[in-house]
Parts: sequence; C-alpha cells; structure tokens
Amino acid sequence: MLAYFQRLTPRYRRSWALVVAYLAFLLLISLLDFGTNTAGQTIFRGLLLSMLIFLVASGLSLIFGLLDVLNFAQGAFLLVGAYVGYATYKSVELSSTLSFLAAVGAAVVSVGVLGAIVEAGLIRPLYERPVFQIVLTFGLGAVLLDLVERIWGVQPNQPLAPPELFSGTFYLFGQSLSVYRLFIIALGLIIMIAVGLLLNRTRLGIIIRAGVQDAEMVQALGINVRRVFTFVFVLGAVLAGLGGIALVPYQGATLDMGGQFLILAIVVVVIGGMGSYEGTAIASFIVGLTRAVAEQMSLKHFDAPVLAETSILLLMIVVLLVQPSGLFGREES
Amino acid sequence: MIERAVYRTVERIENPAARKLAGGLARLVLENWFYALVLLVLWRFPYIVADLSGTEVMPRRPAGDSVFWQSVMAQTLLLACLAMSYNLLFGFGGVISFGHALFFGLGGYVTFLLMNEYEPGARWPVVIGVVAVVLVVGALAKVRWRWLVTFAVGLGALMVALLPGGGGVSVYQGIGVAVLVSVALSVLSGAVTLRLRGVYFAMFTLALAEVFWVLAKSGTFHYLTGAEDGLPFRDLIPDALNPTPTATGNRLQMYRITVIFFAVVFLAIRRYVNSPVGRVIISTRENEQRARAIGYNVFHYKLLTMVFAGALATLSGILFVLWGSAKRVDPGLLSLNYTVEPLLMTLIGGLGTLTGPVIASLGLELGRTYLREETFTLGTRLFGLLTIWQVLWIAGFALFFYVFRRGLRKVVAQVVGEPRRVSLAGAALVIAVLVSVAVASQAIYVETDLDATEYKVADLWQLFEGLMFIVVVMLLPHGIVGTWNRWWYGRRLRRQEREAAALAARAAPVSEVERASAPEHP
Repeated sequence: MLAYFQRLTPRYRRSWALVVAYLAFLLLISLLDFGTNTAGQTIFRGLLLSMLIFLVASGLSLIFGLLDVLNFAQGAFLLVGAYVGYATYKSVELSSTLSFLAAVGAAVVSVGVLGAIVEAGLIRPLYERPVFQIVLTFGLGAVLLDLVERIWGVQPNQPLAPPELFSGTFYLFGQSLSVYRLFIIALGLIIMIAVGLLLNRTRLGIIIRAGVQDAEMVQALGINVRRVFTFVFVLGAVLAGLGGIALVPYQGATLDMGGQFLILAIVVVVIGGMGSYEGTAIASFIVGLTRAVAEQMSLKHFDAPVLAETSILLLMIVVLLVQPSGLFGREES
Repeated sequence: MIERAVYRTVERIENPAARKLAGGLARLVLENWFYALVLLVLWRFPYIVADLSGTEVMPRRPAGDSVFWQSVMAQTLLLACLAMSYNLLFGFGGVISFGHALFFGLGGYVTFLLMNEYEPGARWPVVIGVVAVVLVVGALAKVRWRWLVTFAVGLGALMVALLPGGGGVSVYQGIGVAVLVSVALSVLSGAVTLRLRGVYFAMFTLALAEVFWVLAKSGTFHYLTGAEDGLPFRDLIPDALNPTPTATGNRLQMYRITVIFFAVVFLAIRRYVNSPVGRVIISTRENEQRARAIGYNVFHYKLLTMVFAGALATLSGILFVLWGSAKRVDPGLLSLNYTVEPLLMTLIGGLGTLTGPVIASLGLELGRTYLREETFTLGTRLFGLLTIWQVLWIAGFALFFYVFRRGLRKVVAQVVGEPRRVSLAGAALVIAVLVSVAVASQAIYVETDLDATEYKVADLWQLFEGLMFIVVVMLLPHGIVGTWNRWWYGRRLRRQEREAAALAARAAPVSEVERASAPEHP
C-alpha cells in the first residue's frame, strides 16, 4: 500500500489528498448537521448507492478506455438486466434463493449476449466512423428502453422480496435495515476487487491495460485486440446488468432507472477520469456519498430533495472547470 | 437543361453591368425557385387541405380536417426547425449535443415562469446573478477577457432592457429573456466543455438536460412548474399568439407566423453556413487540428454556433408550446425524446445538408399523424405483396447473412470445394440450423394464431423510428439528401469535366457563369 503511494506522480498524490479531504468534509458536515444516527444512515445509503453506480460506471469507463466508445446504452443494459431479472425472479418457482440465483443468471446471460451482439454486429463496423458510434449507442439506448416498455409496460414494478438468504434485518444507527443492503455493498466491493485483480494480475488484464494505452500497438504485437474489445464490452454490459438485478429487490424495476444511473455513471467517469479504473472506483464513492448527503440535507432544510440532482451536476461542472481530465485520468489536450 | 439555356442567354447580353445583374438574378431564381414553391405550398396549405377535404379553413365549430392539419403542419415545421438547428450544430459543426431538448423546452418554461412570478424588485438581483455566473464560469474556462466582458455587458444590458422596472412581463419580453437565458446556458456549457474532446460535450449536455428535466417534473416545484401536469398558460398569451380556433384566437394567423418563422430559420441557417464563420465551422468538422493550425480559434467558432443553434431551438420551442392543445408547458419537452427526434431527423435527412432535416421531419411527422389510426396484424399484406410476417422473416435472414457474411463465405467455399477452411460438419450444421429455423418459424406462424393480435401503428411508431435509427446509422451514413447530393453532384461534375475537356480540345474557354454555378463541394 505504501509502495503504491510512493509510486504515484505528484498529480495523483494531490488527487488522493483532495479525495480524502472531500470525503472527510462530507462526513464532518453530515455529522454536524444530522447528528450521529442520521449521519450514519445517510453514509450507509451513500455507500449502497456508490456500489450500484460503480457497477454501471466501471463498464462505461472500461469500454471507453479500451474501445474509445462512449457507451450511452449502458443505462439500457442496466434496465434490461433489471427487467429480465425481475421477470425470471417472479416466474421461476423454486426456493427464493434459488430463483434469485436463476434471475441473476438470466440477467447476466441475456445482457451479456446482448452486449456481444451489439459490439460484434453494430459497433465493430463503425470503428472508422467514431462519431457514429456515439450516436448509435445513444439511439440504441432509446430503442432498448422502448422495447422494454413494449414488453413489460409502463407501470413501475414494486420491489420484490429479497431472497431468503438475505431476508433478515439488522439494526444499525437506530434503524432496522434489510440484510439485502449489505449484500449489495458486498457484491459491489467483490466486483470492484475482482475486476481490479483481473486488470492488474492476469494476462488478459495486461492486454486490456496495454490496449487502453495504445490498441494499435497491441494489435501489432500479434494479439487479437478485436476479440478483447468484445470481451470488455460484454464485461461492461454484464456489470451493468448485474447492477440491474441487484436493484430489483431494493427499488424494483422502473423505466427511468436506466437514465438515472447513466447520468450518475457519466458524472463518475468525468470525475474519476475517462478510462481510469481506480478513478472510477473512487469517484463512485464521491458521487454516491455526495448524492446521499445532499439529499438528506435538502430534505432536512428545504423539505424536498432539491439538491440531490443539482449537487451532482455542480460537482461535475467544478471538476470539468478545474481539472478537465478528471482526478485520475490522463491529461487532456 | 433550362439552367444552361438561361446562362447561355445571359452571356449573350452585351452590356457588362446588365449582364452581371441578369446573371445574379438568374442565379437567384434558378437556385431558389424550388424553395419558393415549397414555401408557397406551405402558405396555401390550409386552403389546399380545405379544398381536398371539403372543410372550412376557419370554422366556428366543429373543427374540421383543415384545422387539424394546420396544427399538425405547424408543429411539424417547428420540429423541422429544431432538427435544422440540431443539424447546424452536429451536421455542420461536428459538435454532438445530447441535450438539445433542454433548449427546446427551456423557452416555454422561462417565458411563462417569468410572466407568473416576476416582481419588479427581482430585476437587479436576476441580472446581476446571471452576469456574475457567466463571468465566473467564463473566467474559469479561460474565455478571452475581451470577449467575456463584452458578452457579459451585452447580456446584462439586454436583460435590463427586457425586464421592466415596474409591472409584469409581457409575452414578448418573456420570449426575449428566454432567448437570453438560452444563450447564457449555451455559453456556460460550451465554456465548460467545448475545449475538450467531443465526448465530454455530449456527456455534459446529456447530464445538464436530464437534470433540468428531473427538476421540471419533480413535485418539489409543483407550485412553480406544475410538475408532471405542466405549467398552464392559457390566460397568459395574447390573442395574436393564440392558435385555438375560438372567437378570439386566430389560428390562421398563427399558422402564417409559424411558416414565416420556419422560412426565416431556414434562410438564417443557410446564410450562417455560407458565411465565413460557417466555412470555418465546416472546416473544423472536417479537420479540427488543421483549422486550428491555420489560425482560427476553433473554440470561439464552436461556441458561437452553439449559441446560435440553442437560440433557434429555444424560439421554436416557444412556438411549439403555444401550438399545444392543452395550453400547458409539458415537462416532456425537456425529455430525451426531443433530443432523439431531431437527431434521428438529421441522420435520416442527411448530416450537414440544409433540406435533409426538413424532408425527414415532414416525412416522419406527417406519416405518423396520417397513419395514427391504422392497425395491422402480422398477416396484413404490405402493398398487396408480402405479409408483414414474411417481411420480418426475410429481414431477419438478411440480417443474419449480413452479420455472419464472412463465416458464411467460408461455408460456401467449403461447399463448392475450395481449399478446406472449415469442417464439412460445420457447414452442414449451419445449413441445418438455417433450414430448421425457417421451417420452425413457418410452423409457429401456421400453428399459433399470430394474425389474431392487432397492432396500432401509433403504438409501434417509436420502435419503428428506433429501428430506422440503427439502419440509417449502419447503412446510410449520408442520409437521404446527402446520398442524393453525392450522386447528383457527382454526375454533374463528371458531365462538366467532360464538357470542359471537349471545350479544351476545341481551345475555347469555359463560360464563366457556368463555372461559378458549379458546386464547390460535391
């Protein structure tokens, strides 16, 4: 850990200091403003949100880093994952844990296949026309949203009961919470570490990281970069789909969740720095916690969650003005 | 043919001044006669529909076909304006904005919020606040000081002029302030992101528009914006701007205002694109680094284009709101829909063409309205030829062949006995799968009563548009007009080259007027 910090460039060290200072500031302000219990609950909610955002944002960041494609359909992948998972979870009649597993499987597989088709069939022919790739993913997001709406209807679906395994409650900061929330946080952390290990400890990870630096060079070294592209795209889509199914027992499945999480993920990627994995992970915490604290604060002072949306946007504007390449991104021209 | 004959005649004029005048006039007429014709048809449109359907143009009651199609046409034209402004930004400037809906929806909200809530005491705080925000963000974004101060002072002065010191805000003042707010917002978002790569701008505008949409429909501000119900303005508009066919509202006049607005927007965009500034933004789209190397400050040109496009979108948004039958500013105007629509129209019509977005929006919107009541089943025959089911089936197979064309080529090579590249079993498997899918799908169609379900065209329209989107992006990147232009101008250019060669062979100079009429960019 210490070695890691010693290896950092001064700019990254400054970014770390900023992040720590900012998180401390958030913690302090929520403690002072809300008192211990509410502050704890808020932070907990923020952590939960951070994990969900991370699942969407990591895919966005990975795909952008390697493929140079900004995948605006990432929110739609989350949506498809949620709805497929919802339908499976509801219709499979096994014990609830097993059917939840089946739902996770169905969501992951369907979103993965969708991602593979999209990359191989739609995005790959457009590498010569990068502008159209962005336009295509944007349109694809709208199409997928439309399809989901046609198949499952406009009505928001209420959250389903969490699987038996996580159905208990626990007591934290004067509030009893479902164990399922802990599961989401654990899932996010596990994925965060697993993908980090994949990137830093495996041969495939080396190829991906090299591809982020210079995909043509990797191709020149005799590695089939296109196949790695497809893999990363599918990985990103699957992570978003996983986020979707994780949301089902927590918030249900609604049509607007794709767009919401896409915006949050975009903010995360801008703050963390495009294509930087660690930046994405750290920025997810920043965004999730900021949002939760801002929401709580505006609920307390204005009686309504006004600040929640705008705080995130303001954060993004400030970062873009002060450090356009994000906290941990490569320098933009 | 006619064109050449006219130019030849012009050339025969002896007097140089008269020849120049006639040449200019001939070009004016020859290049614009089609637009003038379209404008005339649009102007007479209510009467044409009235004649065709046997209804009145301005009946007391009940509203007939002509009245209905007036409002459809007006809204279509306004959407065309939105698409044209989007095309100015994306097609000509190469700047992708995913938040154009923000500018479209902003107009109505700003205008009517001001009319509802404005108090004379708010004048100075509002002006100072807006100017201060612009100054701070502009300074942080390193906009050149001279530009920034000029802009801020101008903005402040215009706002002071438009916000009255006493009494309420009139609609026209409100519209003026709405445009100013849109300009300020363009400058802010442009200043923050336009220096960076295009994706930053796309992401930022998307987030910005989404935030405003959420705010507009959140219940928190119900007392201001009416949340999901929208902001009512029935009592706020004067008769001159009221298209409702009642005693006082003058629908036909409003229709004419809309057509004039459309023509002005079209001409303004044409002028802008053909001006020196427009040439610079086109060169920026083609090669940004080169434009920068030549010495143009690309950032400022992009910013200017964005401001212009945003202001046009705002104005058309206000008119669009006025045409709504509910007389409410709907938060849906800020939603992603109104970004996807102009994007789709731009793409279908042709990126960077003047008429493309107009043609596409006319086709899509009028088609949607015309087919709104139609229903169909999978067994309906299209044009009496194939059933929809068969069309889907063929399209699916065509897609399959397209996606796997390389693999299938290998299979064919295997079958016809070229050097062994895939196993025979693989080839047999693919063919078997294809045949069984075909048989199975036909069996499903026969067995299950798929014809029984009736679909409404209106319900499936968005899906159709979405599919069109993907097809256009993949297969028709230049859009309808762009593809046509390539073919047409290519043909003309080849013909001119042939003629020039023939003339050169006879050692006679090419006529000057004719050369001037040739397109610069085929």
